[in-house]
Amino acid sequence: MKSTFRSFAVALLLAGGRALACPVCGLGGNSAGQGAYKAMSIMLVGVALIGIGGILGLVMLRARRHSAISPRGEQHP
Amino acid sequence: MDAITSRPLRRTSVISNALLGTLIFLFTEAMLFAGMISALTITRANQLPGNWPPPGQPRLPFEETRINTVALILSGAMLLASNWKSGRPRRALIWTAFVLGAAFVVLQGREWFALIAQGLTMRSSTIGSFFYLIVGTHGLHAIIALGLLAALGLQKIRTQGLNVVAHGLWYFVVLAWPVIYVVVYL
Repeated sequence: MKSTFRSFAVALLLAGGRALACPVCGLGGNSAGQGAYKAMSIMLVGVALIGIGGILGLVMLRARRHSAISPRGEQHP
Repeated sequence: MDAITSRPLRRTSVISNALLGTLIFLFTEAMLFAGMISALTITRANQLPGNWPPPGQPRLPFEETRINTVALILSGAMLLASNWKSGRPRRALIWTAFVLGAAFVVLQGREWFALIAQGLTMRSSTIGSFFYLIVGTHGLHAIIALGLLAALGLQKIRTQGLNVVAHGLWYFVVLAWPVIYVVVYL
């Protein structure tokens, strides 16, 4: 599971640099512009991954703590 | 029937709806600002060397805005301190955070007037468009968050959900600003 997630994250990060999908930002302009486009693609993917991962991580952490405090089968008053 | 055995089972949530909703909202806000910053960075990189800011357009006041930045960061620290190791929030610190935040908005407004007087408008150049779009969107968030801070100070916020939203939005405004400051003003 972890390795799948890592591979997916790496593929996404690399795709940002390779795609040059936007003809205005990616292919037009000078080399500095293309470099900025790649860097910003990676930044946007990174922010999205960190954001979603952070929220999921927090929920998982809380769920783990929650189950540690109240073992399965216990009735909450 | 016995009162204890007849009590229905209650589910306890791992994370409150308010906190989860606020986190998802702030994530979308972060993506909004990331998109705008990305557009600015690519546009600036595509300019010819020495052509930013464009000819006839003023430089953005990086040094002067330091004071605003310090005021905003201190404001965030005050809000953090208002809840630090204390069951009840310290209202004096919330009001200090509000005053510092309001000072930031007022100083930003003054800066806008000065820049407009120097010819930097939304339509005058690309730098003007990006500056007013990004800083204006941040300012709008700051004004809304200030309203919530004032409500916190006046103890008008009684639900835990709105309390989380008020804190979360202000921390977002404070944390997003240094990034905007460096990317837009430099």
